[in-house]
Amino acid sequence: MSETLYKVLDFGRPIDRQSFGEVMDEFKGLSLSHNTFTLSDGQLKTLIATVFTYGLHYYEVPEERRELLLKAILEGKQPLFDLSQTFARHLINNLDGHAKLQLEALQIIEYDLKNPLTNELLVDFVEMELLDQTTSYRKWEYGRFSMAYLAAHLSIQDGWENVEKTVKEQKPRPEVYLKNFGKELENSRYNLDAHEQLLLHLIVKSKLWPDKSALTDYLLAGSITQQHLLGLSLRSEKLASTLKNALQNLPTINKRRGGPKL
Amino acid sequence: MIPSEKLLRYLEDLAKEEHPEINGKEYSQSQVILAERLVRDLQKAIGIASQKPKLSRRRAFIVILEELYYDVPKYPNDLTLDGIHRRASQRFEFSQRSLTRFMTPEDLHPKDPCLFYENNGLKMGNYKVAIAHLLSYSHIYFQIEEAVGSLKKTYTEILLC
Repeated sequence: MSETLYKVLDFGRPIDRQSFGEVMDEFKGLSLSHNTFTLSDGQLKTLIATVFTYGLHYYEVPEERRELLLKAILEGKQPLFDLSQTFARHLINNLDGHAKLQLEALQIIEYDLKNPLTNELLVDFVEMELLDQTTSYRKWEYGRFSMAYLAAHLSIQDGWENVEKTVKEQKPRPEVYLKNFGKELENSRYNLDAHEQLLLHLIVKSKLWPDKSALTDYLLAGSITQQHLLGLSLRSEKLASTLKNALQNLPTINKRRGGPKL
Repeated sequence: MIPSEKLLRYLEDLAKEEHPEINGKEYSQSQVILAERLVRDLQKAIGIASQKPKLSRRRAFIVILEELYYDVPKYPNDLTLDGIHRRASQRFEFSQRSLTRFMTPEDLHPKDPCLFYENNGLKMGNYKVAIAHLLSYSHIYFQIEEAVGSLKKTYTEILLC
Protein backbone atom coordinates (compact mmCIF):
# COMPACT_ATOMS: atom_id res chain seq x y z
CA MET A 1 0.00 0.00 0.00
CA SER A 2 1.18 3.48 -0.73
CA GLU A 3 2.09 5.89 2.05
CA THR A 4 -1.03 7.18 3.79
CA LEU A 5 -1.23 10.89 4.53
CA TYR A 6 -3.45 12.34 7.24
CA LYS A 7 -4.79 15.86 7.52
CA VAL A 8 -3.98 17.63 10.79
CA LEU A 9 -7.23 18.27 12.68
CA ASP A 10 -8.69 21.71 12.30
CA PHE A 11 -9.67 22.91 15.78
CA GLY A 12 -10.84 26.27 14.43
CA ARG A 13 -14.39 25.21 13.66
CA PRO A 14 -16.96 25.98 16.36
CA ILE A 15 -18.28 23.23 18.62
CA ASP A 16 -21.30 22.96 20.84
CA ARG A 17 -20.72 22.28 24.55
CA GLN A 18 -24.08 20.86 25.56
CA SER A 19 -23.73 18.35 28.40
CA PHE A 20 -25.42 14.97 28.55
CA GLY A 21 -27.45 16.18 31.55
CA GLU A 22 -28.78 19.07 29.48
CA VAL A 23 -29.85 16.65 26.75
CA MET A 24 -31.65 14.53 29.36
CA ASP A 25 -33.40 17.65 30.66
CA GLU A 26 -34.76 18.31 27.19
CA PHE A 27 -36.52 14.95 27.29
CA LYS A 28 -37.92 15.45 30.77
CA GLY A 29 -41.68 15.27 30.91
CA LEU A 30 -41.99 13.32 27.68
CA SER A 31 -44.10 10.22 27.76
CA LEU A 32 -42.49 7.48 29.78
CA SER A 33 -44.01 4.90 27.49
CA HIS A 34 -41.17 5.70 25.12
CA ASN A 35 -37.68 4.46 25.88
CA THR A 36 -36.10 5.56 22.65
CA PHE A 37 -36.02 8.89 20.88
CA THR A 38 -34.68 10.41 17.71
CA LEU A 39 -32.18 13.15 18.46
CA SER A 40 -31.40 16.56 17.06
CA ASP A 41 -27.99 17.09 15.51
CA GLY A 42 -26.66 18.67 18.71
CA GLN A 43 -28.12 15.98 20.97
CA LEU A 44 -26.66 13.23 18.80
CA LYS A 45 -23.19 14.80 18.98
CA THR A 46 -23.45 15.01 22.75
CA LEU A 47 -24.35 11.33 22.93
CA ILE A 48 -21.44 10.47 20.62
CA ALA A 49 -18.98 12.55 22.67
CA THR A 50 -20.17 10.79 25.82
CA VAL A 51 -19.84 7.28 24.42
CA PHE A 52 -16.43 8.25 22.99
CA THR A 53 -15.20 9.35 26.41
CA TYR A 54 -16.34 6.15 28.04
CA GLY A 55 -14.76 4.10 25.23
CA LEU A 56 -11.43 5.86 25.56
CA HIS A 57 -11.15 5.60 29.33
CA TYR A 58 -13.18 2.67 30.64
CA TYR A 59 -10.18 0.41 31.03
CA GLU A 60 -8.72 2.75 33.63
CA VAL A 61 -11.09 1.13 36.13
CA PRO A 62 -11.74 -2.59 36.79
CA GLU A 63 -14.77 -4.14 35.18
CA GLU A 64 -17.00 -4.06 38.24
CA ARG A 65 -16.61 -0.28 38.50
CA ARG A 66 -17.25 0.58 34.88
CA GLU A 67 -20.91 1.24 35.38
CA LEU A 68 -19.99 3.85 37.98
CA LEU A 69 -17.49 5.36 35.57
CA LEU A 70 -20.17 5.65 32.90
CA LYS A 71 -22.47 7.31 35.41
CA ALA A 72 -19.73 9.76 36.37
CA ILE A 73 -19.21 10.64 32.70
CA LEU A 74 -22.94 11.04 32.04
CA GLU A 75 -23.35 13.26 35.07
CA GLY A 76 -20.22 15.30 34.39
CA LYS A 77 -18.80 14.39 37.79
CA GLN A 78 -15.13 14.74 36.89
CA PRO A 79 -13.86 17.91 35.25
CA LEU A 80 -11.32 16.28 32.94
CA PHE A 81 -13.81 14.08 31.13
CA ASP A 82 -14.63 17.29 29.31
CA LEU A 83 -11.17 17.08 27.70
CA SER A 84 -12.06 13.93 25.76
CA GLN A 85 -15.61 15.04 25.08
CA THR A 86 -14.36 18.27 23.57
CA PHE A 87 -11.78 16.41 21.50
CA ALA A 88 -14.54 14.12 20.20
CA ARG A 89 -16.57 17.13 19.09
CA HIS A 90 -13.61 18.43 17.11
CA LEU A 91 -13.11 15.00 15.57
CA ILE A 92 -16.74 15.00 14.45
CA ASN A 93 -16.15 18.42 12.85
CA ASN A 94 -13.28 16.91 10.89
CA LEU A 95 -14.90 13.70 9.62
CA ASP A 96 -14.24 12.74 6.02
CA GLY A 97 -16.94 12.18 3.42
CA HIS A 98 -17.50 8.52 4.13
CA ALA A 99 -17.81 8.95 7.89
CA LYS A 100 -20.12 11.96 7.39
CA LEU A 101 -22.49 9.71 5.46
CA GLN A 102 -22.54 7.32 8.37
CA LEU A 103 -23.23 10.16 10.78
CA GLU A 104 -26.17 11.21 8.61
CA ALA A 105 -27.49 7.65 8.69
CA LEU A 106 -27.30 7.76 12.49
CA GLN A 107 -29.58 10.79 12.59
CA ILE A 108 -32.68 8.83 11.63
CA ILE A 109 -32.36 6.15 14.31
CA GLU A 110 -33.96 6.18 17.76
CA TYR A 111 -31.75 6.00 20.85
CA ASP A 112 -32.03 4.73 24.38
CA LEU A 113 -30.51 7.57 26.37
CA LYS A 114 -30.76 5.77 29.69
CA ASN A 115 -28.47 3.03 28.43
CA PRO A 116 -26.13 4.75 25.98
CA LEU A 117 -23.96 1.67 25.37
CA THR A 118 -26.88 -0.40 24.13
CA ASN A 119 -27.14 1.71 20.99
CA GLU A 120 -25.18 -0.77 18.92
CA LEU A 121 -24.91 1.16 15.63
CA LEU A 122 -23.82 4.31 17.37
CA VAL A 123 -21.24 2.51 19.52
CA ASP A 124 -19.86 0.83 16.40
CA PHE A 125 -19.56 4.20 14.69
CA VAL A 126 -17.80 5.73 17.68
CA GLU A 127 -15.35 2.83 17.89
CA MET A 128 -14.63 2.52 14.19
CA GLU A 129 -14.60 6.14 13.09
CA LEU A 130 -13.49 8.03 16.20
CA LEU A 131 -11.78 5.79 18.74
CA ASP A 132 -9.62 3.72 16.40
CA GLN A 133 -8.03 6.85 14.98
CA THR A 134 -7.64 8.50 18.39
CA THR A 135 -5.78 5.47 19.72
CA SER A 136 -3.55 5.18 16.64
CA TYR A 137 -2.58 7.86 14.13
CA ARG A 138 -4.33 10.71 15.94
CA LYS A 139 -3.00 9.83 19.37
CA TRP A 140 -0.35 12.55 19.06
CA GLU A 141 -3.01 15.08 18.11
CA TYR A 142 -5.00 14.02 21.14
CA GLY A 143 -1.77 14.50 23.12
CA ARG A 144 -1.17 17.98 21.78
CA PHE A 145 -4.77 18.92 22.51
CA SER A 146 -4.47 17.43 26.01
CA MET A 147 -1.34 19.40 26.78
CA ALA A 148 -3.02 22.67 25.81
CA TYR A 149 -6.15 21.74 27.74
CA LEU A 150 -4.21 20.65 30.82
CA ALA A 151 -2.01 23.73 30.81
CA ALA A 152 -5.20 25.76 31.16
CA HIS A 153 -6.91 23.34 33.54
CA LEU A 154 -3.90 23.28 35.87
CA SER A 155 -3.76 27.09 35.79
CA ILE A 156 -0.25 27.18 34.42
CA GLN A 157 -0.81 30.90 33.90
CA ASP A 158 -0.44 31.46 37.66
CA GLY A 159 3.08 32.69 38.01
CA TRP A 160 3.90 31.94 34.40
CA GLU A 161 4.90 35.56 33.74
CA ASN A 162 7.77 35.07 36.14
CA VAL A 163 8.85 31.97 34.32
CA GLU A 164 8.75 33.77 30.99
CA LYS A 165 10.65 36.70 32.45
CA THR A 166 13.37 34.40 33.79
CA VAL A 167 13.64 32.59 30.49
CA LYS A 168 13.72 35.83 28.53
CA GLU A 169 16.31 37.53 30.72
CA GLN A 170 18.57 34.63 31.51
CA LYS A 171 18.12 32.65 28.33
CA PRO A 172 18.82 29.31 29.96
CA ARG A 173 19.60 26.40 27.73
CA PRO A 174 16.29 24.53 27.43
CA GLU A 175 17.88 21.26 28.49
CA VAL A 176 19.36 22.85 31.63
CA TYR A 177 16.10 24.51 32.55
CA LEU A 178 14.12 21.33 32.00
CA LYS A 179 16.64 19.30 33.94
CA ASN A 180 16.22 21.60 36.93
CA PHE A 181 12.48 21.43 36.58
CA GLY A 182 12.65 17.63 36.41
CA LYS A 183 14.82 17.56 39.54
CA GLU A 184 12.36 19.74 41.36
CA LEU A 185 9.45 17.49 40.39
CA GLU A 186 11.36 14.53 41.76
CA ASN A 187 11.24 16.04 45.21
CA SER A 188 9.40 13.56 47.38
CA ARG A 189 7.18 16.23 48.93
CA TYR A 190 5.30 16.38 45.63
CA ASN A 191 4.78 12.63 45.66
CA LEU A 192 4.11 12.34 41.95
CA ASP A 193 3.73 9.18 39.91
CA ALA A 194 6.15 8.63 37.04
CA HIS A 195 3.56 9.45 34.40
CA GLU A 196 2.55 12.65 36.21
CA GLN A 197 6.16 13.85 36.36
CA LEU A 198 6.58 13.13 32.72
CA LEU A 199 3.37 14.85 31.71
CA LEU A 200 4.14 18.05 33.64
CA HIS A 201 7.62 18.02 32.14
CA LEU A 202 6.21 17.76 28.62
CA ILE A 203 3.61 20.47 29.24
CA VAL A 204 6.23 22.94 30.45
CA LYS A 205 8.58 22.03 27.60
CA SER A 206 5.92 22.55 24.95
CA LYS A 207 4.83 25.85 26.43
CA LEU A 208 8.30 27.28 26.75
CA TRP A 209 9.89 25.82 23.64
CA PRO A 210 7.11 24.76 21.29
CA ASP A 211 9.56 24.45 18.40
CA LYS A 212 11.46 21.82 20.36
CA SER A 213 8.38 19.69 20.91
CA ALA A 214 8.21 16.90 18.39
CA LEU A 215 5.54 14.47 17.40
CA THR A 216 7.06 12.02 19.87
CA ASP A 217 6.46 14.40 22.80
CA TYR A 218 2.82 14.80 21.88
CA LEU A 219 2.41 11.08 21.32
CA LEU A 220 3.85 10.36 24.74
CA ALA A 221 1.54 12.93 26.34
CA GLY A 222 -1.42 11.44 24.44
CA SER A 223 -0.54 8.00 25.63
CA ILE A 224 -0.37 9.15 29.27
CA THR A 225 -3.60 11.13 29.13
CA GLN A 226 -5.52 8.33 27.43
CA GLN A 227 -4.35 5.87 30.05
CA HIS A 228 -4.75 8.04 33.14
CA LEU A 229 -7.41 10.70 32.58
CA LEU A 230 -9.54 9.74 35.56
CA GLY A 231 -6.51 9.71 37.87
CA LEU A 232 -5.35 13.06 36.53
CA SER A 233 -8.81 14.47 37.07
CA LEU A 234 -8.94 13.24 40.66
CA ARG A 235 -5.53 14.77 41.32
CA SER A 236 -6.10 18.01 39.44
CA GLU A 237 -5.71 20.27 42.46
CA LYS A 238 -2.59 18.50 43.61
CA LEU A 239 -1.07 18.68 40.13
CA ALA A 240 -1.94 22.37 39.79
CA SER A 241 -0.28 23.26 43.10
CA THR A 242 2.72 21.08 42.27
CA LEU A 243 3.16 22.80 38.95
CA LYS A 244 2.95 26.22 40.56
CA ASN A 245 5.35 25.38 43.37
CA ALA A 246 7.83 23.55 41.21
CA LEU A 247 8.04 26.46 38.78
CA GLN A 248 8.43 28.94 41.64
CA ASN A 249 11.11 26.90 43.37
CA LEU A 250 13.12 26.38 40.27
CA PRO A 251 16.69 27.51 40.83
CA THR A 252 17.46 30.25 38.37
CA ILE A 253 20.58 30.16 36.32
CA ASN A 254 21.98 33.13 38.25
CA LYS A 255 21.83 31.25 41.50
CA ARG A 256 23.78 28.47 39.93
CA ARG A 257 26.34 30.68 38.28
CA GLY A 258 29.81 29.63 39.25
CA GLY A 259 28.58 26.35 40.62
CA PRO A 260 29.36 22.98 39.20
CA LYS A 261 28.52 22.54 35.56
CA LEU A 262 25.05 21.14 35.23
CA MET B 1 9.76 7.99 40.41
CA ILE B 2 11.90 8.61 37.37
CA PRO B 3 15.22 10.23 38.18
CA SER B 4 15.21 13.47 36.24
CA GLU B 5 18.57 12.81 34.64
CA LYS B 6 17.37 9.54 33.30
CA LEU B 7 14.19 11.11 32.07
CA LEU B 8 15.98 14.00 30.49
CA ARG B 9 18.43 11.70 28.79
CA TYR B 10 15.57 9.84 27.16
CA LEU B 11 13.80 13.02 26.19
CA GLU B 12 17.03 14.29 24.66
CA ASP B 13 17.43 11.01 22.82
CA LEU B 14 14.00 11.47 21.40
CA ALA B 15 15.02 14.86 20.13
CA LYS B 16 18.27 13.54 18.62
CA GLU B 17 16.65 10.84 16.55
CA GLU B 18 15.38 11.81 13.19
CA HIS B 19 12.17 12.52 14.92
CA PRO B 20 9.03 13.46 13.13
CA GLU B 21 8.55 17.20 13.16
CA ILE B 22 5.14 18.64 12.81
CA ASN B 23 5.02 20.82 9.81
CA GLY B 24 2.15 22.02 7.76
CA LYS B 25 -1.25 20.52 7.51
CA GLU B 26 -0.43 16.90 6.82
CA TYR B 27 1.56 14.08 8.34
CA SER B 28 2.34 10.64 7.12
CA GLN B 29 1.80 7.16 8.39
CA SER B 30 5.54 6.51 8.49
CA GLN B 31 6.06 9.56 10.74
CA VAL B 32 3.50 8.13 13.14
CA ILE B 33 5.00 4.65 13.06
CA LEU B 34 8.51 5.98 13.79
CA ALA B 35 7.23 8.12 16.65
CA GLU B 36 5.34 5.15 18.08
CA ARG B 37 8.50 3.07 18.08
CA LEU B 38 10.48 5.76 19.89
CA VAL B 39 7.76 6.29 22.47
CA ARG B 40 7.39 2.57 23.07
CA ASP B 41 11.12 2.28 23.73
CA LEU B 42 10.99 5.22 26.10
CA GLN B 43 7.98 3.91 27.98
CA LYS B 44 9.67 0.59 28.38
CA ALA B 45 12.88 2.20 29.58
CA ILE B 46 11.22 4.30 32.25
CA GLY B 47 8.81 1.59 33.30
CA ILE B 48 5.48 3.02 32.23
CA ALA B 49 3.50 -0.10 31.56
CA SER B 50 2.14 -0.49 28.11
CA GLN B 51 -1.14 -2.22 27.51
CA LYS B 52 -2.90 -4.37 24.98
CA PRO B 53 -3.62 -2.47 21.78
CA LYS B 54 -6.99 -0.76 21.73
CA LEU B 55 -9.13 -1.60 18.77
CA SER B 56 -12.80 -1.45 17.93
CA ARG B 57 -14.60 -4.70 18.50
CA ARG B 58 -15.54 -5.06 14.85
CA ARG B 59 -11.95 -4.63 13.66
CA ALA B 60 -10.66 -6.91 16.44
CA PHE B 61 -13.00 -9.65 15.22
CA ILE B 62 -11.77 -9.22 11.65
CA VAL B 63 -8.16 -9.66 12.82
CA ILE B 64 -8.95 -12.88 14.69
CA LEU B 65 -11.12 -14.30 11.89
CA GLU B 66 -8.45 -13.56 9.30
CA GLU B 67 -5.68 -15.10 11.39
CA LEU B 68 -7.66 -18.25 12.01
CA TYR B 69 -9.21 -18.74 8.59
CA TYR B 70 -7.10 -16.87 6.03
CA ASP B 71 -6.21 -20.14 4.28
CA VAL B 72 -9.65 -21.70 3.94
CA PRO B 73 -12.28 -20.67 1.38
CA LYS B 74 -15.18 -20.89 3.83
CA TYR B 75 -15.77 -20.61 7.58
CA PRO B 76 -16.70 -23.86 9.38
CA ASN B 77 -20.48 -24.24 9.50
CA ASP B 78 -20.64 -24.36 13.27
CA LEU B 79 -18.42 -21.33 13.85
CA THR B 80 -19.99 -18.74 16.16
CA LEU B 81 -18.75 -15.39 17.32
CA ASP B 82 -18.49 -16.41 20.97
CA GLY B 83 -15.08 -18.02 20.58
CA ILE B 84 -13.88 -15.18 18.38
CA HIS B 85 -15.05 -12.69 21.02
CA ARG B 86 -13.03 -14.51 23.69
CA ARG B 87 -9.86 -14.55 21.64
CA ALA B 88 -10.30 -10.95 20.58
CA SER B 89 -10.67 -9.79 24.18
CA GLN B 90 -7.44 -11.52 25.11
CA ARG B 91 -5.53 -9.70 22.39
CA PHE B 92 -7.20 -6.30 22.30
CA GLU B 93 -8.85 -3.77 24.54
CA PHE B 94 -12.44 -3.07 23.53
CA SER B 95 -15.57 -2.59 25.53
CA GLN B 96 -17.10 -5.89 26.51
CA ARG B 97 -20.49 -5.45 24.95
CA SER B 98 -22.78 -8.39 24.56
CA LEU B 99 -22.98 -9.84 21.10
CA THR B 100 -25.80 -8.87 18.82
CA ARG B 101 -28.03 -11.81 18.14
CA PHE B 102 -27.91 -13.21 14.65
CA MET B 103 -24.55 -11.68 13.85
CA THR B 104 -22.33 -14.24 12.18
CA PRO B 105 -18.66 -14.33 11.16
CA GLU B 106 -19.82 -13.87 7.58
CA ASP B 107 -21.65 -10.63 8.53
CA LEU B 108 -18.51 -9.21 10.04
CA HIS B 109 -15.87 -10.41 7.65
CA PRO B 110 -17.37 -12.10 4.59
CA LYS B 111 -15.33 -14.53 2.58
CA ASP B 112 -16.61 -12.96 -0.65
CA PRO B 113 -17.15 -9.30 0.24
CA CYS B 114 -17.93 -8.19 -3.32
CA LEU B 115 -20.88 -10.54 -3.45
CA PHE B 116 -21.88 -10.05 0.19
CA TYR B 117 -22.07 -6.25 -0.06
CA GLU B 118 -23.27 -6.17 -3.65
CA ASN B 119 -26.40 -4.21 -2.82
CA ASN B 120 -25.18 -2.19 0.12
CA GLY B 121 -22.81 0.61 -0.77
CA LEU B 122 -22.62 2.11 2.71
CA LYS B 123 -21.76 -1.20 4.36
CA MET B 124 -19.16 -1.92 1.70
CA GLY B 125 -17.71 1.52 2.38
CA ASN B 126 -17.52 0.78 6.11
CA TYR B 127 -15.87 -2.53 5.43
CA LYS B 128 -13.26 -0.97 3.14
CA VAL B 129 -12.38 1.68 5.73
CA ALA B 130 -12.17 -0.99 8.42
CA ILE B 131 -9.73 -3.09 6.40
CA ALA B 132 -7.63 -0.12 5.25
CA HIS B 133 -6.94 0.88 8.86
CA LEU B 134 -6.00 -2.67 9.85
CA LEU B 135 -3.54 -2.87 6.98
CA SER B 136 -1.97 0.51 7.77
CA TYR B 137 -1.20 -0.65 11.31
CA SER B 138 -0.86 -4.38 10.67
CA HIS B 139 2.42 -4.42 12.62
CA ILE B 140 0.46 -3.61 15.78
CA TYR B 141 -2.68 -5.61 15.23
CA PHE B 142 -1.53 -8.82 13.55
CA GLN B 143 0.66 -11.64 14.76
CA ILE B 144 0.48 -13.85 11.67
CA GLU B 145 2.15 -12.45 8.59
CA GLU B 146 0.28 -14.70 6.16
CA ALA B 147 -3.01 -13.28 7.43
CA VAL B 148 -1.80 -9.77 6.56
CA GLY B 149 -0.91 -10.95 3.05
CA SER B 150 -4.30 -12.51 2.51
CA LEU B 151 -6.12 -9.44 3.87
CA LYS B 152 -4.14 -7.25 1.47
CA LYS B 153 -5.32 -9.47 -1.34
CA THR B 154 -8.93 -9.08 -0.21
CA TYR B 155 -8.47 -5.33 0.00
CA THR B 156 -7.18 -5.15 -3.56
CA GLU B 157 -10.16 -7.18 -4.70
CA ILE B 158 -12.74 -5.01 -3.01
CA LEU B 159 -11.21 -1.90 -4.52
CA LEU B 160 -12.04 -3.39 -7.91
CA CYS B 161 -15.51 -4.81 -7.37
